[in-house]
Amino acid sequence: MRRPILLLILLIISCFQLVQAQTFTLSGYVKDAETGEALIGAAVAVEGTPARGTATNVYGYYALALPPGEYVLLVSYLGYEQSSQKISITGAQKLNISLQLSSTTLKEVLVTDEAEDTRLRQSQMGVEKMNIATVNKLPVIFGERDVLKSMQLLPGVSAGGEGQSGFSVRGGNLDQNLILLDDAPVYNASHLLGFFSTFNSDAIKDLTLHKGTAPANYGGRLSSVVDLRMKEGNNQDYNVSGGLGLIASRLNVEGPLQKGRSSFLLSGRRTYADVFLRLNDDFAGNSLYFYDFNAKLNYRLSEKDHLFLSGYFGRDVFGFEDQFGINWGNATGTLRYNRLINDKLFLSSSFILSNYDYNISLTTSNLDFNIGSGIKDWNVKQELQYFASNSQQWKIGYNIIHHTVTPGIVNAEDRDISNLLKKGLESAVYVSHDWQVSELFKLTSGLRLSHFGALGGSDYYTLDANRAVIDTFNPNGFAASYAFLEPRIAAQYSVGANTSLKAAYTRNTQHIHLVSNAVTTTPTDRWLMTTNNIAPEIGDQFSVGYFRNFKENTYEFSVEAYYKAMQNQLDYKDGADDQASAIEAELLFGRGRAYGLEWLVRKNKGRLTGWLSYTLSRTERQIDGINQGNWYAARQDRTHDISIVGLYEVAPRFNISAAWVFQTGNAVTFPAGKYNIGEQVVWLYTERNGYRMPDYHRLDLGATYELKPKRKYSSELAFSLYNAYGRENPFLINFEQSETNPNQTVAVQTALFRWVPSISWNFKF
Amino acid sequence: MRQSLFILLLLSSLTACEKVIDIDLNSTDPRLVVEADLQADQTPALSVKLSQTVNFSDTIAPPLQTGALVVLIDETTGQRDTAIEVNPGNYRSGPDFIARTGNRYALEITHNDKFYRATAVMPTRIGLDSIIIEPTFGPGGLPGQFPGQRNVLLYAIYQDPAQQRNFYQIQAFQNDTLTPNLFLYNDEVNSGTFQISPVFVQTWVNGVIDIELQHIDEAVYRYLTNLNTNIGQSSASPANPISNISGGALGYFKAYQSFRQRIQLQEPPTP
Repeated sequence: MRRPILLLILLIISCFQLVQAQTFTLSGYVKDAETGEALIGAAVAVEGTPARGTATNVYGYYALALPPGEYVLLVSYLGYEQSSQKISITGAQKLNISLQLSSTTLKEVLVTDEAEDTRLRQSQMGVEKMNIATVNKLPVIFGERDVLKSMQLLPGVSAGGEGQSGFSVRGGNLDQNLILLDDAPVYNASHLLGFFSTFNSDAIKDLTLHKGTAPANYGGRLSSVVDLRMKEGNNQDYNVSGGLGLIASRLNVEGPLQKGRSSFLLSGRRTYADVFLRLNDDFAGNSLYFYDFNAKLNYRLSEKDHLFLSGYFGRDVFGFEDQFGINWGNATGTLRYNRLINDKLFLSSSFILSNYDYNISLTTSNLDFNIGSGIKDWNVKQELQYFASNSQQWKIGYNIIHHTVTPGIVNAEDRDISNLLKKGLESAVYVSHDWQVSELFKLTSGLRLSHFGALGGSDYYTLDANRAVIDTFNPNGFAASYAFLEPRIAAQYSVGANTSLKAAYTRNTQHIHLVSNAVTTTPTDRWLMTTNNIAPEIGDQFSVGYFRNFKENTYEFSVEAYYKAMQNQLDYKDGADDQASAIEAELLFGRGRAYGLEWLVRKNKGRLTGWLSYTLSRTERQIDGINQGNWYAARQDRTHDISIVGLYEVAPRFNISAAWVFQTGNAVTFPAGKYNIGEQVVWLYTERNGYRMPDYHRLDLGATYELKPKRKYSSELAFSLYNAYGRENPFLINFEQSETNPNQTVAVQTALFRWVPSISWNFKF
Repeated sequence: MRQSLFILLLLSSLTACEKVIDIDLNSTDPRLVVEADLQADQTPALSVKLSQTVNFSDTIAPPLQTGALVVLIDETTGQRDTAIEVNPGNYRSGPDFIARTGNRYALEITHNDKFYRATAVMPTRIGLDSIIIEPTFGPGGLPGQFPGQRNVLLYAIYQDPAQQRNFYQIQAFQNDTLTPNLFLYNDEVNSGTFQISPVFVQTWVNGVIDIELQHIDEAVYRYLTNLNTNIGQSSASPANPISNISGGALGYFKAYQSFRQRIQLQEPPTP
């Protein structure tokens, strides 16, 4: 416990730094002049030395403390004209700044969304931002733009499988990513077996990925936080945009409720494969589609009070007549109230609901059966942001989540399942502190106190040493209760103007776990919460990094190294019954470790932009009872992972892009031998994940051509070619008896997508 | 998931392709494979087949194992019987040995100087109440099947005893030929009630279908569930089915009660 105490002392000491010469606060919002959208992370600074500056928060708010005097205020944001104005500080002052989209870079593709040297200057490590404009220019399968899939091109992030939106960050499991849409957790961010993500890029403004090194205001997952913010809607003018694609079409409407103050956004997407299916008599009456619907209202009650209401609804539906169906979907809702208490205090309060459910039903005259699973969360979050001085910023907050988990259980006709639901209460209080200690040294430290209580609902089990059930009980209070102190610290040291060194340590805990035996998401995947028998997952990550920018931030170079130790990693034991009620008895627990090096070179400006990323890594598990208790490669272990992304502006209205990826194949279990039971061939396995799938590589090409704009109307054609050289990347490898000789067995690989061309048309007016 | 595969196939029907590839797989020492069935109130009570594993790349049938000493013991009564090898690798208990409900049985095998042992308690006899054909599914309407195929969905209906957890294996014989699918059910959801268990038969052929209901124990139920996963290769972390035989053998020792019922299958009237 010595480390947290040291940290606390450090925090207290830093409070004394607050005593300073008299200053006044200049504060306000930075917005896009055309749409009124708040700009996140814009740099706000005054000219001269010592440089005084800050960045806007996630709502576009900034606060800058200045002694009385005359200044030139510079506000910049990549892709926008820098704003420069003379100001005179005589007292506390409000100043809202609107930035114009830069005319010279209007057509230029930008690969990052931040101030030019943010990546260099911030103390946080393992942070990546995706620019939605870049995402929209990258080639994708079936032409469906997808922030989550484009994110997989970043170092340290790898795809869950061919075309999948599921991803693994720094060797983590797919369930160790916290995906937040306007603060609401999205539990299954995929459509149609993972080929599409649930995020319609029309409605998304900003994506920030923290690779396990998030500050203390985030928590609850070991590997990463993906923080997505929905657009607020244009508060200046009405706007309609949309697109027709191969798979789906989209429509997006936004506009002011009160000009310059309040706005709305409605955005929808639906696939139409089923429309064509119905043309065939064999498929008439069947359904196969998914949709997404995003809505956001933002209402400025006064200069100081701002209300946001946002919602997301998405669903996959797949059915044969009325007899058989699979459907799953997410719904989230966020009500947020922001209040500027005074120039230096910013309070944000959110009430959040998120719901995920997955159902399979089979209805016949004799049988009415369904398997249902899901999670419902009620969530309260409050955060006070204190702009103590130009060099110090505090965040203090709490978060309470009430989870209700429906296990993947068979629900026959009259079965009462209410007593099978599991409930849990996840809470956290945190403090996070940003401190520019000196001109060269920056420190972000934080402490998160998290607690999880397993509440009554279904029975809890008492297990013996062999994990066999010996008793059940149903408590009145908590069946189990865990508390953790999670320290977070990140430091940045500037070496010269263009170089910085960083180091970070982060502890994360996780109380909600997904156990799965399948290759893709299925309703038999079980979400489990921590109980008396399922210990919380604990992850400790150490990382160091070297960051350097070249040629006035045109080029960025970075290399980061990480080591992550994970405790209480769970997996099914061999021969587990994944339908058992006492699922704890079917699980095994062990350790995990992941370490690697991530290189990134990125070109941010010019006609040619893009990046090259290379990750060298190893991810292993050690679980007593699996692989004789020896360390083995986790399925997502990728020795090499390379992405090369290039975007080129051929002409002002014509862009082309290419992305090439290479990954070492997944670690998989293949049979060493075979035998017969009855007439069937049975495979003999000797070691867990002892083999590799063949290496995965693929080139995608894309082009966007903007048609001649007419007054307020513009449109573009987007072409893409997925897997341009037709590589047969194996989706799965099965072992079969040879057709010619039943005593001979062969390995058969199935490759899914070769040369998938697509075209889509997008419009805006 | 068969349904998932259907969507996959639909999505990728234009582009997906399969091909046989070469994979360099390790070789492994041969292990004994035991298939031992002990049926109540029948002679011969015990039927054992012994074979061995072979390497993946081998092109021979797994060799049958002759000359083993196979002993069956009724631990409740103390009766012992040494099985006779009726043909190579196949062993049967003698005519005097009859397995009884509730008794505990041990199977002991000595082969190539290695000793293997398994025990099981004979479950109670549970009869089929009836078999019905699902009337609402027409040709081509079955989940997981492509249109135009002709499947049969039957239900086996039987009364589950309330006292303990029960495990069932159901198989179908079409015109006296065993169909390949193995259906496994348990009473966790609705213990003590009438069980309505679906049984799919691949194609509609006029004639007779026999449904065999076997009452089995939990260890064998788990073994068979694992076996289905292994054969279907549907798991992301495939493993050997957990055997109830100690000593390192693969396979199972199953003590079961069997009940058979027959129905006639006739071409449904075309609408």
